[in-house]
Formats: sequence, structure tokens, C-alpha cells
Amino acid sequence: MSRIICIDFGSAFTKVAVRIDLNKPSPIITDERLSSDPLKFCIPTLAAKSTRSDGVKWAFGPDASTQSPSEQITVFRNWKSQLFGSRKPERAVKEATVKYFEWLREFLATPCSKVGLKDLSVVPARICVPDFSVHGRSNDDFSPTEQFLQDALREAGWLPDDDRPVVTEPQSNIIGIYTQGANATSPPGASKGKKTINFMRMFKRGGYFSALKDASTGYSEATIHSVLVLDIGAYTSDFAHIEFDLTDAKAPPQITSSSLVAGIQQLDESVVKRLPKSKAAAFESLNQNAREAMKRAIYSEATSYKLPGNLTVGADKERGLIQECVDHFAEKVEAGLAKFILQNKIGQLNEVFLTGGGNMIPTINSCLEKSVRKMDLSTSLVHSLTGHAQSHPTYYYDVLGPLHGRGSSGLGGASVYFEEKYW
Amino acid sequence: MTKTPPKSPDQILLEVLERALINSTETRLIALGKKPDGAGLFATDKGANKTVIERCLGLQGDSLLQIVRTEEVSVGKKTQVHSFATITPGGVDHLFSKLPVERRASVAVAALDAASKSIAVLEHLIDSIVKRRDELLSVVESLVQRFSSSLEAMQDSAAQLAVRRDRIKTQLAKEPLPATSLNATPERAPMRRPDTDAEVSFRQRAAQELVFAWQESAREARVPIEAALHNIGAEPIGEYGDKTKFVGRLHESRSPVFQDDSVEVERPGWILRDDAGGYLLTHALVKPYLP
Repeated sequence: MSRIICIDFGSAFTKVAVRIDLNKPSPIITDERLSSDPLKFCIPTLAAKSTRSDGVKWAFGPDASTQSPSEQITVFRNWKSQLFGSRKPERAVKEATVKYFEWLREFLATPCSKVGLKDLSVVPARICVPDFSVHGRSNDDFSPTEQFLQDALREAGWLPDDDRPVVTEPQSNIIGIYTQGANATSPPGASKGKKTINFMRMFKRGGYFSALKDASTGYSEATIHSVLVLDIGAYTSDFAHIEFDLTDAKAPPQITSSSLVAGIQQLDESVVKRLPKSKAAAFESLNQNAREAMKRAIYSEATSYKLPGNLTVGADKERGLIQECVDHFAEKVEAGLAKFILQNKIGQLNEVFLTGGGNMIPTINSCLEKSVRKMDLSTSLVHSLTGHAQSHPTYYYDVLGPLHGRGSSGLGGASVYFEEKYW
Repeated sequence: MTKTPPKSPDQILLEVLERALINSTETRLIALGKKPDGAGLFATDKGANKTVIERCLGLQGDSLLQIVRTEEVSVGKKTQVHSFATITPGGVDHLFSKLPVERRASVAVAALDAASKSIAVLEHLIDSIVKRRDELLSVVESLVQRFSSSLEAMQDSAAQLAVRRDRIKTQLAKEPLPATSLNATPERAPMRRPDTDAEVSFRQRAAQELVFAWQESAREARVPIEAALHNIGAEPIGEYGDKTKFVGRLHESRSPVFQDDSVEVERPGWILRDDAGGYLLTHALVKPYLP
């Protein structure tokens, strides 16, 4: 089956991509109702339940974004973390998950119909989960979390994919980033008698295609092409490495990945702890837009920001305190990166992608870039989200579009790469 | 022509004291010129006069005259000091002890007449002053009364104005503000989306900061910001006092409300719109409303 829908079920936002053809790029689903997101594809992972006298009612996604909890209203926020671990999720959490998936199917009906998917209950669905949620998996069995999510999807009227119902986020992210959503298969050959993935075409947008060409024409003696994606998200920093065999263009690339519990939320917490109480309280009470505006100023632009009540954050001595927090966070991620490289014995790193919200902060971005440079792993191309394009004597610098910041896991999860029947 | 023998210091002293007693008020100590208003107890301060002056001012014992006032007069570069004196009780005793008996009565009568005249003058002056004081007191009392009345009236007005201000504020929070530009903003075609992501991002950011400022401003100060928001491509979500259904993605409330509940718009929200879609800048603030 050529069609698939991938649900990147994030703690704060859910992103959805669909594959409509084995040889066409997968679009990410956008919708006008997601007006809080400039790119219109981040669906708040939120559910709210009212148990007032007029009956049980639910609100989800953007409609639950301003819902405050009260005696008769329960708001489910960041509940994904409760699905991990050995303990079974509480009944209320399970109910909220199923209801959310039900609503998601209805919500997506209109935008999906615009890309040709009319009935989502018959389209195979795949869900992205964090790297550590697969713990407890034995051989071909699913971990309790993976099993729970599949059951919830099924109960909500989705059709979990038979072959690959679950993918881990770092893996789907690196595929999404490196293919930019592209899918490519070759017609059934005489030997295999089935369609097979054309890796060369699928990954032609990255440096792999050039490396393969150079190797095949004798211009280069390299035998592998190695790519690293370092994605700093809200809760975790994900490391993923993909390695291509340049001696065999049909060989599927190998992916290794790891997640480190170090996200921007931790940076926020460390900054709030060091602010005076009045400013910390004002920061905590900000709505999402105001919080993002402030974080952009104090982290990315290294300047001060005025909060309501004429409170200025990030001026004078606070600038230094905030910078210390950012530096400390960058060092933590840098240490995680070094560990990942060492553990996986990565001796060559031709391309590096620095993505996720954390890499929008120049100090962190620059620290990681320097770290990669120090490792001296033959890096020739660095892709980054920041607009601070730099020329460097030993490698090229490429600025990624905003879609790479948040939509790649969904795009990658919908990729034909994860269907081994086409390998 | 017979030459008049010079007066003795005792004679001069008695004459000076007698004049001082009869003058009753202060008299210039040393004469200044020959004009009547420059007349003094002593013609000069030289010769025998010098000894008598020292005696009178108590430089050699009890004072018989006392300096009650001095004047400084500048003539060219020179400054002269003029003293004015009256007789002391000791001076009166000395005078009557030294005067011949036959003159004592006449001097006493003359002094009494002068004193009586002075007293009469002073009494008249006192009467005038008292009369003027009473008049002034009356005027001051009247002014104080008028000011008190004005003050009370002003305090009343201020209190009434404060009440009115609070009522207006309450009303403003409830009712559409005539000064707001929101109701008067005509429908318009959506703006063209900027060509670059950087420009889209900048427009969103600028509009967002304008909305923060708009939220922090008093209602009457919002109109110019609303104009700026309109010009940058933002549109209001709802209008003050609108009755509608609660939609979580567009509305927020301080009171517990749920999706589809009836609500009233307390403060409109803002969305930045272009021909490629909308970006929510802030939710409209609503409160529960019972139809």
C-alpha cells in the first residue's frame, strides 16, 4: 500500500504527515485552525474534559489551549510522559488518549481530503515515540508504551500499520531531515519482482548523492557517507546518525540514535531559578506567545526583554546569569554529543544537521559547531537553523528552512524507508 | 557787648534732661544742621558736651538718657550714624533733684502736657489701629469663610468626579467604547503575504509586540495602537460586548467556561491575516454570559 499517515505524537504538539505515493514527497498536514502556529502544522497535544451537570463534554487541540482546570474541568497537558515506563497508564489518561486520537482523526479529515486521503480509518497509521519509550521491548514484541499507543489508535478508529506501526523520533527525524520528505522506489526488477526503495533518488537532496557520484567516478576514495542530526527539542536532545555505503548504492543506510533528557524546558527552569522572585513569577504567568517572544530575546538575541509591569529581564547582571545558564546547557548537550560519537565509534562525519528550538540559540549552535570542528571528523557541510550563515575554510554552511525545526519527525515517519518490504 | 560765659557741664546736663523730659518722645542726640527737623539734645558732641554725653549715656555711672534708635545716613562715601534718645527714669530723678524748687512745678506741668499730648496722639493711633484691625479681621474672616465654602465645594466636586470617573470606567469595561476604532474599521481584502520568510516573521513579531502594548494600555489609549495594528495587517477577533459561543482557539476566560458556552467579549483578540492565512496574536478575553 502506497499511502500512510504518520502521527508525530509530541508532548506539547502533534504533527502529522502523509505519504500519498511511493514516488512523491510526503506533505505535512497544515490547517487554518492552527492559527497559533506560524507554520500551521503544530496541533496542541491537549485534551479537556468537562463533567458539569449538562453532561460530559470534551475539547481538544487548539480549542483546549485556553482551557483552565477547575473542579469540574480536567485538562490533560503533557500527559504523554505518563504513558512511558512499566506502570500502566491511569484510566483517565487512557481515556484522554483515545478521545484525543478520535478527535484528531475528525480534525484531520478536511485537510487530509485536500491531499487525496478521503477516509482516514482505512489509511495505515504510524506513530512516532521517543527513543526511550521502546525500552522493555523484547525481540519483535512491542514495549508496553508502543503497545498501548497502538491499542489507543485502534480504539479511536485508526488503522495501525501492520508492518511498522511505531518508529522512534530520532530515526524518523533524521530520515525526514535528510530526505525532506522525499520518497522514491524503483519499478519491480527481474530479480526481486517487487518495487524497491531507490535510496540514491530518495536521498539525492543531501550530500550523499554527490559523495556517491564522486566515489563511483573515482574522484573520491571514500567508502561511506556519514550524517549526524542533533535535534534539541523542548524535553530531549536527540542524536541520530545515518551511514551510507558508497560501494553499494542499493544497500539501505544504517541508523543509530539516542535521546538525552536535556531540552529547552530545562534551560528555562534553570533561568527562572536565578531570576528575582517577581520576574520569575511574571515569566511563569506569561502566555505562550509572550513566553516565546521573551525567550527569543534573552536566548537567541542575547538582549533584554520588558515584561508587563515594566519588569526588564536580561539586562545588566542578569545578562551574565542567563548566559551562564545557556553556556551550562550547551556544555551538557556537547558532552552528550561526544558520548554518542564515542559509543557508536563514529570516525567520520561528512554532514551535520543542527536542528530543533535549542539550535536557534546562537551560543548553543556555535558551541556544538565548534565541538564538531574540534573532533576533526572530515566534516564538509554543516546545516543549521540560524540565519548566521558563516563561511568556514574547511566546510560549507547551509541554512535550513523553518520546517526542519519541527516537522521532520512526521515527514520521516511517513517515509517509505521504514517499510522493509521495499528494501 | 557783654560776652556770655560758657555753660558748665551741670548746666548743660540739666538743660538737656529738661528738653528730653518735655519732648517726651525720642529726640535726636546730636543736632544735624540748623533746620528745625535736625534739632538735637546737644548742638555738638565736642568740648563740654562730650563729657555730658558720656555722663548721660552712663559711661561713668547710671545712664540718664538711653539710645532708642540709630540711623545710618550715607553722604558720598561717608556713612554717618545718628542716634535718638529718651530720658531714663534715673534721668528724671536726677533732673528733679537738681532743678531749683521754684522750677520743678513748671517743668513737671510742661512735661505732663507734652506727655498727655503724646498719649492722646498714641491713643488716637491705637484707636485707629484697633478700628483697622477690626475691619481687617472682619475681611479676613469673610475671606476665610469664602475659602472654606469654596474648599468644601471643591471637595464635593472632586468626590462627585471620582464617583463619576469610577462609574465611567466600569461602564467602559462593559460597553463598547465610542472612541474605539474597531467598530468603525471597514472590511478589507487580506494583505498580500510578504515574499520572504524573514519578512513574514518580522511582521508577526512587530504585530505581536504591538498587541502586548495594546493589552497593557488603558482603553482610551488603544485607538492609535489599533490603527497601527490595522496597518500592519491585524484584525480584531470579536468586538466589545459581542455575545457569542466560547471557542477555545479564539477565546480565553478568567472564569470557568467550556467549549460552546455562551460568552460575552470583554476585550477583543487579534489575528494577523494575509492572503495565505492567519496568525493568532492574542485570544479574545470573554466572560460567561447567560442569555
